[in-house]
Amino acid sequence: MTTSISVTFDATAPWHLNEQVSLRDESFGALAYHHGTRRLVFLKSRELVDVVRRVGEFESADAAIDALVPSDQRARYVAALTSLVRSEILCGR
Amino acid sequence: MGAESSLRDRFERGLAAPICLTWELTYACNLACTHCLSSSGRRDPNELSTAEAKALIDEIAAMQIFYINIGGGEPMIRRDFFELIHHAVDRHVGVKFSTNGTRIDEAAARRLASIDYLDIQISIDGVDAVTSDRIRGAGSYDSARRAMDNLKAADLTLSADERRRLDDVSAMPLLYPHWHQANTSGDRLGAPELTLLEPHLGKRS
Repeated sequence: MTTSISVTFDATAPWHLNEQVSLRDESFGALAYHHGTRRLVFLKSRELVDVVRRVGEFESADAAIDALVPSDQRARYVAALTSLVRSEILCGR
Repeated sequence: MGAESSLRDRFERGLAAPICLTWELTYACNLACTHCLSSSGRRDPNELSTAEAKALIDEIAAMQIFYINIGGGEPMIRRDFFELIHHAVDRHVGVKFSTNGTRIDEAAARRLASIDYLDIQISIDGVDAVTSDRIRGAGSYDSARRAMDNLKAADLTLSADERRRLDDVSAMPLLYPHWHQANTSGDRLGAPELTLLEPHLGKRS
């Protein structure tokens, strides 16, 4: 892919794990390899991995964060998901 | 999300599996390059059968190894080459392979271009036949260029890394004056992707 896609993260929208991504559990969290971009991304906590795997079950990213993450950590997860949307690990439905 | 120090501690335990594997699929080769690392030529009688190679790919997929680097020998010499590539890619194991390009005719190029998760490296050792053939054998440069032309005609998608790689190449004008000239004046080679490898001053053992 030669074009760079600029995607903004709308937490009120539904998101899911990109089908082109292999997600492998690791002791620190997980490694995500995007077969399309050939990029490797580190997910540095198991809690984040859980959100990434399950976000597709919820009607929005907000709903997934509410259900899976302590409320005082919401901002960190929004930032993490924003970064994962930018690297196309997550994509919109 | 844990603190940096605990993340480092956890990294010390290593990864669950390798990120990629390098696999010399065959030692059979139709060229005899002077610097060949594996002194390829004849097929190893103990080379994996199709069934064994597929079983290995299944294992690689089960371990969730993200991609394999296939070399040789000339991997496209194996009759089951495409069968094995598809077996890997269908299981979400990406494939990168290096080839001398002699087997990439128009039909093979169209077939390769239709496969996702595939990167192809066509080896040459200079930007003209005189330089490259001295190392890789008579006619090898033209074969490689024909393979590149066939892939280009088959609309192989250009890699996003191409620009950066060309920049890397132009940073080494002393070692590779021809590359420098070829690539700073535009993509004269017309190669789908250009990667410069470290020079190896080796020879066949």
